[in-house]
Amino acid sequence: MPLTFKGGFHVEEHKHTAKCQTVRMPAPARVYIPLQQHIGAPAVCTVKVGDRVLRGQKLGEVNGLGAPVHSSVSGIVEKIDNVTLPNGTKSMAVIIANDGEDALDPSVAPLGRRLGDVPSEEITAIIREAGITGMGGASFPTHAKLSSAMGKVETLIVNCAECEPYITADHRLLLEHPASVINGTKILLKALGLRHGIIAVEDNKRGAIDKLEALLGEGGLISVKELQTKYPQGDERQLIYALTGKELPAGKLPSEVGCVIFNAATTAAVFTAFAKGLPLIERIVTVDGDCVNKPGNVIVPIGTPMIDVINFCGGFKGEPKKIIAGGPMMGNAVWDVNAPIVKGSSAILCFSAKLAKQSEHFACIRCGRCVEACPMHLMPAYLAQYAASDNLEACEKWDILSCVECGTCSYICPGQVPIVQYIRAAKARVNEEKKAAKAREEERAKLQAEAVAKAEETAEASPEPEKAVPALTKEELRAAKAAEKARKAAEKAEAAAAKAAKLAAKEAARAEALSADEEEAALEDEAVMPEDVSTSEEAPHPVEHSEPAEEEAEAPSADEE
Amino acid sequence: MNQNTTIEGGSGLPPLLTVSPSPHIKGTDSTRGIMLDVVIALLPPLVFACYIFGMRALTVTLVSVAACLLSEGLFNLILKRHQSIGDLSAVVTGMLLAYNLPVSVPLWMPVLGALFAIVVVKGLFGGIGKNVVNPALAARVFLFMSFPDLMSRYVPPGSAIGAFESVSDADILAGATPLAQLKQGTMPDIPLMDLIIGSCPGTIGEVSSLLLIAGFIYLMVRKVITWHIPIAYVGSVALICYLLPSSSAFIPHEFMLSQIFSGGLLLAAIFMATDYVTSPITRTGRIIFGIGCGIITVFIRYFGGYNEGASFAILIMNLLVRYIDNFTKPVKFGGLKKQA
Ligand code: SF4
Ligand code: SF4
Repeated sequence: MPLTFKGGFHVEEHKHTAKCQTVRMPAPARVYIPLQQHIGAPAVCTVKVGDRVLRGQKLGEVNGLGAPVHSSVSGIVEKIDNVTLPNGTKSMAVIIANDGEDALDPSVAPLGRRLGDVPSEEITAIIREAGITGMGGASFPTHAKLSSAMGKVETLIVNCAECEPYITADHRLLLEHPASVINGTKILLKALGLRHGIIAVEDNKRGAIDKLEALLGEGGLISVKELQTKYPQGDERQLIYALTGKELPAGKLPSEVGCVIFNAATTAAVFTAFAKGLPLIERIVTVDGDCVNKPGNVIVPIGTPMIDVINFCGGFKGEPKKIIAGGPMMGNAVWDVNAPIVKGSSAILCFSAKLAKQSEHFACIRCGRCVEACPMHLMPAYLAQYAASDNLEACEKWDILSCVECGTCSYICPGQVPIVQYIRAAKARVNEEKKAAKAREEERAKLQAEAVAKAEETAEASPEPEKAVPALTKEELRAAKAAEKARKAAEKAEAAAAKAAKLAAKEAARAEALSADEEEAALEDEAVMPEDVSTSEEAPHPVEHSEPAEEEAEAPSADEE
Repeated sequence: MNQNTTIEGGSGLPPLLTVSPSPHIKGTDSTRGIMLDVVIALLPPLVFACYIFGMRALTVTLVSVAACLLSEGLFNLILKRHQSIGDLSAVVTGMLLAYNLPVSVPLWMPVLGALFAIVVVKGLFGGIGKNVVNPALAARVFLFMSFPDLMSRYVPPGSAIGAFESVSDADILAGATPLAQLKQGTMPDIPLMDLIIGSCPGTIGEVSSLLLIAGFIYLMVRKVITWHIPIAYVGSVALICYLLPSSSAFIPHEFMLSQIFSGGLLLAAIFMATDYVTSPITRTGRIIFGIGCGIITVFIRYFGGYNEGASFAILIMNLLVRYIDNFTKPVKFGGLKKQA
């Protein structure tokens, strides 16, 4: 029985390119190598305009979280300029005119040592030097993942689910270079000092499973596990659940349940870095969609503009209406076909107007399909409803922050409700709200502390009260006086402190009210925006809410990456 | 960056690319498709009704459907709403409304019912998906309250009333309906087998239990509905009737079977309690909803002032749907561990 999780949906696969042998495309005349292709800080450019760079030469270096970037061709640095990335963000990029010589950098050389002789820290260092990041889309630097997982995990998982429709890049990799994936896995196991790895493959890739099993045999370090073909089986949480039965809540790292996950292409890149010394400068990209002449799997130098890859695949067939970087469920629609392929680009999909069509009218008919399909066990119908009516409190109560934006609910909805679009917008606002609340809390605490300090000061400095005391014995008198003095002083200090605290509270309340006003104003701005940018020709239907603006919902949320 | 040379349109401008948020593909399910399946599942009982009561059953149904479509269309037009009749939900409402009427009703009744269902119950609440109670059921109850006599004129099976023939008093069944007999504490004189096949007096759509069950299976196979509501509903009715018959004179299992196959229970449980809009969206919620319907139905059948309790039972449960959803909200993935 293939393993799986509760929920999800068998999304139509469209794996038309599963039989397309990977082909290497010639390097384009010009590559655009972004300095930011990963989570973390952008790399700092180490070359200048006019420099000659070689294939595999480092172009940018990072301090802290991030990964270096390398040249995928040899040639002259023409310019260092801003480019749009496939996900719509901007990054500085090194633009290199290819001289066609393909001259390799001298640093590119096989390690030439047995894996057993390489200590764990050195493996991590090599992976870092090779600029390897997750290649499934999120692009988290692999060396950082290794360091943070070190000593905390017991299961290493290689994610070959490839649950996104259309994409077959990992499938082809497993079929054509199963040994690379296996060897890469072994290297990663060694780096982490683990004795057990799992390569998890969806059961629609039968051929790949057979190949891996034949190579691995029984009882080795690495086992192959078959997953049911269902979206989003490749999501980290669903994958861990299917393999180990553990539930990893949204927002937590796999290491919390003792797992670490690498993408299939990433493991192969690790192996390449060891066997050839070649950094991550090329990757397999699936090119498909009804608007491309020759769909297929292409080995693309990093930094190649998407349009060059499409042209290599025979160019457009008809007029493209939508071009997607990545899978159709979670990928990004691009507006600039010159955006370069980056380390996390798994696919380019070209859709005609027919496939890009989206329904304009929608109404939830409460069919419950989204509830059944949500892999995070949420109630998307209600979330969309609360998001549409701007009820952030209810959104939070109904666990909007646990949504991983997998898109299953929107895909499945017969009422055509753009559920994820609503959720995404509301989620961003809930997060903002939380941040603001936290800031307010801190501010208040600071004010209060200051006030208390001040009160104490005044209490100490207050003059002693003069009081007539009935004549008593000298001794008694002195004692009583002392006691009285102490009491009064204490009382006064207390009163002063209370007064100060009251004042502080008042001030804090005022500050809060102020910032709340500001926030409300900001929210209002947001609420107005959608209508302003609405492109729909029809009058907005008399529903009490307006559609979330495309731009707004489109902004890639940081936590997704 | 280099220019858009490669994909320039004829006018020299690059074609406009749609930039919309993911997901970029859509499943094939649609409201219209679902409604079409319901219509298909509802057709066999109609054919049977024409056979057993005459072609007038078809006339009443067509009038009802046409009136529903027309009122929805006009309502949208007047309020300048998006024209929604294409989603076929009005057709389903029209059919269900007609199925809840006896074949003898004058033709203005389905029209009045349709207006009430579409305009008052559905339209004024905001159209499809926004109504709180089932439109067809609410309309049936509305007609029942307003015209109790006209709503209780049943014709015996085999009447063969022509399509446009009006029903005279001579055609009307003199005796009590099976449900009325059960209420009076006697077993129906109609044999159980006839009740199951549908050779008995009743409203247009409720008589043929067999074909209604066939519709249930069809809807399950097509994944339009899940088993939860109908099974929980009919199951709880069966259980209560078996364990606690209304009179000790009844033989429990015979009493139970006649309760299930008499009146509109199956039509209600399969086609009306399962109305998406007015039933819970969680599976557990649906079971609770079904059981609630079952208990109230039996309660009304035993003690209420009416012979049939299904309509009221569902309407009452409709009002609780939001609470049931709230109560049965699933535990989020990874949520259990946190609480531990
Ligand atoms: S799938 Fe769509 S129509 Fe069905 S309950 Fe969810 S949001 Fe509503
Ligand atoms: S996008 Fe969010 S709400 Fe929708 S199915 Fe995925 S996790 Fe659930």
